[in-house]
Amino acid sequence: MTAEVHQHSDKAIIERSRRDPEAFAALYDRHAPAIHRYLARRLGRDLADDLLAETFLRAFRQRDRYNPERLNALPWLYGIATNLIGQHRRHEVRLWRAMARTGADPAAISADEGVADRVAAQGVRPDLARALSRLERGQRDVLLLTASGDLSPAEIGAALGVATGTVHSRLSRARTKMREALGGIDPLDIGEEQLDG
Amino acid sequence: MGELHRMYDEVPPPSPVVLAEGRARLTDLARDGGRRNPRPRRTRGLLAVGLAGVVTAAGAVAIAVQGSDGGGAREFRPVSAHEVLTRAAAVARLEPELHPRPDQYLYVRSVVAWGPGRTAPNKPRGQQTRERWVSVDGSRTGLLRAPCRRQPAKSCDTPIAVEDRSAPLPRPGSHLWLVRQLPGLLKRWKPQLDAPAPAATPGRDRPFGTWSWYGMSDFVQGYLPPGLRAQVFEFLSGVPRVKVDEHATDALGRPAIALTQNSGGARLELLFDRATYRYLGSRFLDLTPRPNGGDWTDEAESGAGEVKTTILQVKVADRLPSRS
Repeated sequence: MTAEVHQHSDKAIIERSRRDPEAFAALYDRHAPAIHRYLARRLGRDLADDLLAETFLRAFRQRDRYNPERLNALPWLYGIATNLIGQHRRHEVRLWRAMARTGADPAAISADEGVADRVAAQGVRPDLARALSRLERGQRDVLLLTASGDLSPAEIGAALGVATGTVHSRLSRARTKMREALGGIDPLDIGEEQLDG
Repeated sequence: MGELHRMYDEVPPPSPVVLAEGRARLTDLARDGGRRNPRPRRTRGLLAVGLAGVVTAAGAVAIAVQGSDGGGAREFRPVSAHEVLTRAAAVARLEPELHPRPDQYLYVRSVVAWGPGRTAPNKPRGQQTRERWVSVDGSRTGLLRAPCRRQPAKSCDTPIAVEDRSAPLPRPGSHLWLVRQLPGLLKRWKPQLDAPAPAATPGRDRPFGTWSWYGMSDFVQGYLPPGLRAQVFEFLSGVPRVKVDEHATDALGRPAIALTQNSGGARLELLFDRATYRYLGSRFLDLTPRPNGGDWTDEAESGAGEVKTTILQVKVADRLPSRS
């Protein structure tokens, strides 16, 4: 590992922030868009706008407990964001149910543009949203962290504070339930032919 | 890619105003030593006014600015290319900076949509998501991952070769090379803006001696540090004969403002979010039949009269993914 890696790693930023608290803002600059995307996908954009800052404020306060073996802080930040989402579980379930009912996606582009409704109403989205609203919380966490595409199963385990094997089993059960709800379609593995039309 | 991945892709990035507000709350807490909880700043409107001020200072018409938090009816008034680019530069400066290391890759995920256009009326419409890993200093082979042409349900990987291994690092055209060279190039190209527009060369082997509208779109299509991206937009704000289409759409069908310049039988539009002025991507339109050959023939959009590209995600990756 080179000195340059330490200079730019998340771990190095967090360590530096213990002496120079404002250095923590570099972590925000690096990861805020990914965390906002995750929050917005699950809670809608309005609440995501508020919880984005809250995620990083909590991270800042907990930085002394950061595991120094981890160079990448993204799993840690996703874990904090997931805990915050857990505090708004009813809101999340209501959003998925509303999306199942109306086809409107509160996380996508503005409803007043009309495109979000048009896009969401297509294909399997309403069934997918309904199935997500019915998943157990732990399974939904694992499925939606996997779909975010930023974390490996081991990193998801670290984010949620569970073993990697637990991540695999929760994901497997979630995918089985989703396939049953979607007539055999796996929402993590749909062919690109749907895009080519 | 599954439906859940696609649902993530459709989430627009946070507005610069939301990002700035969150950062301000964090730095408030840091300055206070983490002792008290900073109250949420309700500064989105003020920041929006601040951004609008950039435009007003340039003698432009005031335009309603709205972040991703929505609220209130939108009003759009005619704007000039200079206004759009000035505002886009201000917004670009608020984007997060990535700081990639030379041994890493820049990962860009984008949606490409194509259609018949007016020169290829029989070309069917299509759309696909592509992922690209490009070596930060140009020293390593990169990767393009896209749906296979014959079996679109599968992904096919195409190496992005290192073009000239004898060239010193960072290699020309790489991210690091651009970061070092582009500010100087922009200064050198500035006097050329008053000259007639250079010929369009939509290939990839453009010399760096003269600027081109097409070349500039290549620069902003990938990742540039916020300050440098802003400099590019400011450079483009001085380009004459750029037209504005306020009713364009990007590859995902989202409303956009298009800045357009025709040259060499083709048109290239730079697309900006109509609400935040964030750069979204580009639209390439053939105005005359394209000559055979070149870089296009092996790509799915080959022969299409219209190709749109929208950037979905840019991040730093330590390594290439395992082969699909």
